[in-house]
Amino acid sequence: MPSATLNMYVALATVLFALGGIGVLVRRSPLAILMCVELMLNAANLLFVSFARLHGNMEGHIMAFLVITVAAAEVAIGLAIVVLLFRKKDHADVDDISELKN
Amino acid sequence: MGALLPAIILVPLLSAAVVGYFRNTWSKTTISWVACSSVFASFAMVLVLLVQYLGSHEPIHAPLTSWGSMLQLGLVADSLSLWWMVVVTGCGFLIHVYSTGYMHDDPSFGRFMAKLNFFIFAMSLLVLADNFAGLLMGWANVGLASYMLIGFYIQKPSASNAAIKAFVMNILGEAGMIAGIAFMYYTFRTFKFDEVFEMAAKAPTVATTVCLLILVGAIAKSAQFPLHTWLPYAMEGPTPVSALIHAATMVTAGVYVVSRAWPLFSVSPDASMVVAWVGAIGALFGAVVAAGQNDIKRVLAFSTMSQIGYMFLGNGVGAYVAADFHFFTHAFFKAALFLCAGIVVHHYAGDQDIRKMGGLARKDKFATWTFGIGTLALIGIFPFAGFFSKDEILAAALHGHHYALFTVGVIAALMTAFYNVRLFSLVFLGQPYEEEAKVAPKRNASSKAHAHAHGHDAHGHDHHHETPAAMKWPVAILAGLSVVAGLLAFVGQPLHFLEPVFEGLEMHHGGPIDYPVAGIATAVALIGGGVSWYLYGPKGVLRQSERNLNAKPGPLLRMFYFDDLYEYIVIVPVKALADFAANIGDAKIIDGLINGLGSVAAGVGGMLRGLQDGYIRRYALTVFTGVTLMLLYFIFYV
Repeated sequence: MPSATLNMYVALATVLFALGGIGVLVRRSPLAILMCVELMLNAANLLFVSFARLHGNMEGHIMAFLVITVAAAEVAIGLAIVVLLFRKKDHADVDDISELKN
Repeated sequence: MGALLPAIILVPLLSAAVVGYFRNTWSKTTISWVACSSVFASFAMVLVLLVQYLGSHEPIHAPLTSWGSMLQLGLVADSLSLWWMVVVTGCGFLIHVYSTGYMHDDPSFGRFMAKLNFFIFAMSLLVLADNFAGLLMGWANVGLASYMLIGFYIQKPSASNAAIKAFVMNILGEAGMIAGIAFMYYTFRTFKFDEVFEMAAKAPTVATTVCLLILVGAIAKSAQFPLHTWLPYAMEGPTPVSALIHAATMVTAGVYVVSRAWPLFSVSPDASMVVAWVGAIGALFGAVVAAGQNDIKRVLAFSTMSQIGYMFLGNGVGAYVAADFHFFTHAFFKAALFLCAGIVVHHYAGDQDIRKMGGLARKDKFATWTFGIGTLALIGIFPFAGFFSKDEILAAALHGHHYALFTVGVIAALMTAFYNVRLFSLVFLGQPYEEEAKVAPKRNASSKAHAHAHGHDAHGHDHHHETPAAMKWPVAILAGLSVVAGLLAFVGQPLHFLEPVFEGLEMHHGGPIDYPVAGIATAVALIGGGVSWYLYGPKGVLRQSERNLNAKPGPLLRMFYFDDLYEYIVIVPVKALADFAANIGDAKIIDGLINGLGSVAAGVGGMLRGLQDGYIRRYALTVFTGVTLMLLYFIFYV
């Protein structure tokens, strides 16, 4: 088995991103969508760290740190919104939030 | 003195405006005085200019504008325009006076006098202009005046229709006239008569085209064949209107323009021949159709068409002076006939059907004498006016070797006598029409006459009075002129008077009477009159059947079906086109287009609305798709 080349990391990151993206579009529960968004962010992080390893400097790692921080903040807000949604509707289904219709 | 010229034109215009404005406030007497005196003032000014002209033999000019080389408009009083103006203002004045009596009981008396004044203004402008543009302005305005006056009885739909018919046919002619004048300006770069005529000598083909186009206008205005169908219907207007506009003056505008533009016509013999033949055909056509008409005014209308045909004939063979002389005499006797017809119709409570008349000679001597004089003048019996002028035209045709034209003219003279004797005898001679004798006796007689005479009539008159003096004097004067006007020929007029205008034209300088032609014409008139007397005289063989009110209209009464012809050729297609435009073009096509655009917009909006359904996942998908496409673009194309 060959040792891990850059391509494999990139491929993995791409697949993770794609899965996350599809999940965002397909899933109906807000919680699941948030998790898929996290997945996409993690894929980006993976890419950053891989390239940092490739170039041997710390810039990629720092960027990954930033992304994790932002992701955390975003999840906090997002979960707050989900809680509010759940309180209002009693079931969490993204398709029901259509007050902006027409 | 030149300042008088604009005054001649403007005084009637001013009077028209003032009388029109005050038509409901002023009394009828005031209106009559203002209107008649303004025309009299114009007449007086014309006489002053005439005297001056006779003294100096110089045309009197009044330049009005000097807008550089492009447009130099002005007025001129030379012998031709003075000749015409004497008739326009003189007859105009007499007819204004007549109208004060005739239209007295009409509620719109003020409106009538105002419009009549306006006509005098327009006709004066036409005649006094020294350039084609001014002539055209006058031309258009007389058309307007004619429209207003024919359609004067606004409550009668037949009157408004007649007015529209007259106006539309005249517009047709005007189109030709404007085309001719525009082409003339395009070639010669000027409107002034003198300048155009100078240049015309070197450009015969241009002159021919211009002449033919102007002739179209003249034919329409003078109701010549084939644009004559409006004239009989123009009789819907009040009788003074028929006398002034459709006998003495407006319809002779065509003759005027041909006479005025004689240098153009003399360099294009083809155009002149067309003029002559149009006139000859018109003369014959008018005379023949007149013999079959039953409305007294229509007989006179066709008679006018016929006599103007003679004038065109004269103009066409180069006898401009003869034609203008005939215009002069014709104005007097035709106006006299029309005004007298107004008196006759008065007697019959507005009924103009000659089949219901008869025996009027016993009841109204004045009308009989004046109508008789007018008739004899019209037929052309020595020594009445028509004899001299008509024979001069025929003589000119003969001496110019236009034998065909001469023959047609002679036959027309025969028919003229024929229809005139028929008219006179059916109206004045013999027995009154028994069944419905609607004759109101001249004096306030028995109550029986009262009962008969209250009938519907065209101008709201009460008939238990004698013909008012205001109506009698003009008729008498005009009849008198019909007798003496012809004698001008004995003193060498109008030849010497009009000669300066026609400088350079070869003219026939014979004596006042050309004996062979006079002999032929008189003989022919006697034959025609004799046959008519035999048929329609007091003991005529066809008299009874002619007065049959239920007779089917024959081709003569239907004016050889020209009306129907034009109906089919022109009116039906135009109506179909209008129908198409309104119901299909406008309703379906244009509205459909606009509505279609609206529904397209609505449809697109409906489609786009589907994108805004509040469906979050679709929004997310849209974002993703956009990003992906941008990425692909950046990867592959940048």
